[in-house]
Amino acid sequence: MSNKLNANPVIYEVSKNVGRIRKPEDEDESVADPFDSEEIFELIRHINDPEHPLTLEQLNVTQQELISIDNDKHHILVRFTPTIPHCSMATLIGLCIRVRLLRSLPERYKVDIRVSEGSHQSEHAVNKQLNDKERVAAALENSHLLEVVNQCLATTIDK
Amino acid sequence: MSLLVRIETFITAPLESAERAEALGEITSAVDNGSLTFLTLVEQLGPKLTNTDPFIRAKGIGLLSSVLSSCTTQQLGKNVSTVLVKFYLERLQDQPSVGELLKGIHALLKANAVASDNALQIPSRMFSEIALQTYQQTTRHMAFSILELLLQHHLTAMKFMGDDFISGFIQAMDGEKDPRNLLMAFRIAKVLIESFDCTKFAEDLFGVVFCYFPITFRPPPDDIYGITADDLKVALRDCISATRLFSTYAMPLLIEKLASISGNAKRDAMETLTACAPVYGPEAVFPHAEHLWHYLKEEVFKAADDANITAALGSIRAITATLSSATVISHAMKSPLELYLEFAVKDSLHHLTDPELKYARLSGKMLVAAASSSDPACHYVVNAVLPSVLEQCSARDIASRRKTLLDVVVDFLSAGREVYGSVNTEAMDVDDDFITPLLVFKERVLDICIAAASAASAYVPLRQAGLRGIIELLMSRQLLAGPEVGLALGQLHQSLLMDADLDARSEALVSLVSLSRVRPDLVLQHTVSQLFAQLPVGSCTETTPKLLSLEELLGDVRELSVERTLCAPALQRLLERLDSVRETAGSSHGDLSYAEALSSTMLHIIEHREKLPQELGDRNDFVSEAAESILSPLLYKATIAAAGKGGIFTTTTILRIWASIFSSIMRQSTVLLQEKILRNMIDIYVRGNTSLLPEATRTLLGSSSFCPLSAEAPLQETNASLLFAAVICSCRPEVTLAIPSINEFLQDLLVRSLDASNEILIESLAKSVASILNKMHDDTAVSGFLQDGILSKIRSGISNLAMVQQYRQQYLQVYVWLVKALVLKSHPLGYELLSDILGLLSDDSLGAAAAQGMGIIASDPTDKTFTRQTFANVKLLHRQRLFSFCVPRLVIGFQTGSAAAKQCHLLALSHLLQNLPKQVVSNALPQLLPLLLSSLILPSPELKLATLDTFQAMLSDHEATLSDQAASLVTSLLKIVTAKSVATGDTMHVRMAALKVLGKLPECMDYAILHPLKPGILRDLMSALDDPKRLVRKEAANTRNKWFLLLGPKAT
Repeated sequence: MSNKLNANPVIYEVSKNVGRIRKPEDEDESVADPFDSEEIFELIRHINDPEHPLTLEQLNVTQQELISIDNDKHHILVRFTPTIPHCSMATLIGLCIRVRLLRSLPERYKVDIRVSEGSHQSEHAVNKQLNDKERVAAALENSHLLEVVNQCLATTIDK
Repeated sequence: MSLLVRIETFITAPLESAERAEALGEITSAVDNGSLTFLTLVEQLGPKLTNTDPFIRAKGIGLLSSVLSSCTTQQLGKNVSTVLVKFYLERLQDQPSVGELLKGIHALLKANAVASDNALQIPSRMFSEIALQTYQQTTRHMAFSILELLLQHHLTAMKFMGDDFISGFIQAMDGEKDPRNLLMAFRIAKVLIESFDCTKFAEDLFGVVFCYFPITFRPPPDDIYGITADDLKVALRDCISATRLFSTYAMPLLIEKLASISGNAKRDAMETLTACAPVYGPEAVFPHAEHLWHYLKEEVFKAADDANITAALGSIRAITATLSSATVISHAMKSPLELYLEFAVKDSLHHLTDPELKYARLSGKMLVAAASSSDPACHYVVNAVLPSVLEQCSARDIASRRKTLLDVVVDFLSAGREVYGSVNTEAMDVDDDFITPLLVFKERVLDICIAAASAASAYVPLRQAGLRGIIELLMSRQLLAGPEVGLALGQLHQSLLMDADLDARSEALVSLVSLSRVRPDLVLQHTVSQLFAQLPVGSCTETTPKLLSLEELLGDVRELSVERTLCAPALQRLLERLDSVRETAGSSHGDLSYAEALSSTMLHIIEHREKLPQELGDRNDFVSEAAESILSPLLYKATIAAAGKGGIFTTTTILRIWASIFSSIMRQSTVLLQEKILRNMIDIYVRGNTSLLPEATRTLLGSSSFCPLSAEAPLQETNASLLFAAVICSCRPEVTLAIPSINEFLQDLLVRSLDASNEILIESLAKSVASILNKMHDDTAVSGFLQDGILSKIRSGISNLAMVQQYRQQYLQVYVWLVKALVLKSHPLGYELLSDILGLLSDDSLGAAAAQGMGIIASDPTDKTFTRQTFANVKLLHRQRLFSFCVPRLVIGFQTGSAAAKQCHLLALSHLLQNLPKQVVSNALPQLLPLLLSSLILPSPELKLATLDTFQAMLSDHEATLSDQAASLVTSLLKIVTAKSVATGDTMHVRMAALKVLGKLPECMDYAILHPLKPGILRDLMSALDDPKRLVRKEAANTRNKWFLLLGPKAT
């Protein structure tokens, strides 16, 4: 880990008032809460960066504004911003987000994961890799890769 | 047995054997009672002491030494000890016996039986005869103990020995490795350095001590001596920093350690440096100062560890403070301090002007650390740095960078506060000859802070930094005056009342709370008034345009009232607002919730005083004031409202809050004050004596009567009985009730409660009686009163099938409170009555009520009655007794009962489980497991929640018991989370609790047990991910991810 691609990333301050504001209807059994972008963001904000002991939120890689959801069409689009445009970790970060959402969202949703426009040199290639089912499945067959992903996801537990 | 035989036994018997100890004991007691003198003992030991076998000789000495260390000291006359010391010293050349010999000398010194001229010979003999490091640890330990004792008792004599002692000690210590011995050796070294003239030996002494730096000792896992690395570090540091003679040797070496790789060693070096600098003095520090700055900068900029940064900043402060004390030779030349700071500023300034500002904050911290050390340093640094920082602060247009610079400014303000004091610092503690250098800049700083804090700046952290700056300015001595204070406060209020961001608002509140500690007058006069100006007078209509919600305003009032001087005025103003609320006809829901919010704020403020540890006098002042100004007005208000038969002040919502206020005031009161309040209460409530009320209240009351405890009175009036119960239940046991006959009084209250129809009145009266019975000292009087008719009346009422069920339940309710009072104090009658209630669990019509009753008996009421806080007689372990009494009966009842009875038994069990410390439950777990598992199937949410709670607690300690049932537990849990049906009792909270238990399994149970369950769990949890409730989904996702991460047996 001595030669990090971005050895000294900018760390963003995370608001102290984490978590969503509780509303009375959250406790009301008769009201169904729809999925929204904040809920998706809550799921991925605590994922650890593969290089640094920092979360994707602290590195501003994930932002709630970059998540959109269409409940009628069961479609979710998550975009993320690598810290530097030539970041070779972008695919791995995307894979972590992909796996986290695979494990945490109901099957009816189709999830697209992309790097936000213009934030990466090989934007097209990364996007293609992340949204190709077979390639994701193949990546997760690789036990070493899976181990790295699981490590990055370990920080999301009990948050 | 003759002496010789005993000696023989001692020497031949194996070590640690009983007969050896016995022989020693007998000899010692013979010496103690004077029948055996030491001289005789030595004579008899003669053959052993001159034996050719070295082990026999050592054992002979050992016997003598053991006797010496365990006998009482009166037998040790001066002559005897002189002879013994000489004898011991003489024999020190006998190597195998050295250990035992030292033990004897130690015993003699410990008994303080050695004269100084004899003591003088001990170290010289020891140093010349013994090469200490060739002996085992215990022997060395003994030798160091002897040296320490000598320095303690015979310091003057040892000083006479001077250089020989020091050189001998250096030799003895050289090469020591055992932490126990080292700790002692460091202590001895420190005494030597402080009391002896060490000039000649400074280098040697330093060498023998410093070679242990840095300490890397780590205590072994089974360490029984409890010596930590920190103990050694501190002892060593004390040695190194004990004399300036060490400075020439220490400084280069410490700098070398600063450059080492280990973070711990670096921190140790920095902390040692901080301790040494003031002792070594400016002459020693100055030549290395620039060098040190570089190393420390490296540490601050690169350190991953906050502790290291703190240590580095501490060193900078110590170095600057030391240089500040340097004498200036001529004014033409720059002083060492100036030279040093000139260099430091030059080295840092470019970081503060660098456009990226990457190291600005850290550079700032270093300069601030230097500035906080002394007046001249503060002047120099502030004048050299602040102008350019301030200039940039106004010039920068990127908010996050302005924030960084403002942080540096705020740090300077707090450094100034450290040197020149806060507004509340006693005038004698600070020297007014020193004028803070910040004075020149205060206007600009204030402007910048206000601009940053105002809502115009869009970046929240910048606003927060501005607020921190304002509060530092307000708290600093010598800075703000007159209109500036107003300006600063104005901005704080602006942020508190108008800022839309929660973080910024709470920063403003925190600032004001800390200001209230030093300037309560300002906060009371301005802030509290501002807040109250926002609180509506009279009715609170929904349409009133408000900057902040009521809750937020009252929350602020509550936080600020933590300060004692603000407490009373705030309460008074809240009460005034409460007075203004429309109380009778035409009151709306808004009025009720306004009155409720005001009342609970008062409650919070009063209860907060309870939590503070404080001088008793102050609490008495507060509480007697509160009794007068809060309790009485509320009592009269309730009385008028109740007699007027209506209005919001007769609703249980308000009255319950008031009851808590009464209770809290009572809890803080002395016996005397309690009796006064109680007398008033009984007069008005029981006797209906309205003449005690103040004139104004009586006029309002008119001719209407007030009898809130009467069964015939209207519902609204009897609600006021809540206040009566609150006062009665919070009495101290020493309080005497002002009534002629206690039995009649209790009887009267009980009969009223049995006849009453208002639920509130029934409970209030039953609780009052129960509380009095619980606090009565005389147990026979208690059972006497109960068995004198009243109990049988209640019992027959309960079992009277001809009565309406509602009445039977009412009787049962009263009965339950009496049982609770007795069970708490472990009164035997209580358990007798308790079995009646357990029996009723199988009753068709009263089963549910009985189960609820078990809940009342097992739990602490939320209003703190029947707890130690309200002075109840609560026996230790009464819950455990209750549990072990009930469990076997519940298990049998469950096994034999009908379906309905089964459920009642399980409910009763769940009440017990909820209120018991979990470790108590664990012993009965195997017995209870079938009951718990069947609880998960019944459609009662409370029952399920309690059971799941129990599982959650059991899992961490008793996974073994649960492991056998893991599969059936998992099945039940999955059923709950996949069914998602409220109708079967699986409410969202039940689902969440079930998911939590599921999520806890992977960390508690064996992989071998869980592995076969994993695929099914992952599959079924998929459906929980689509739960209609978001909170449940969150828990489901967390649990499912935990199971994904369960990949193999736990690494141990």
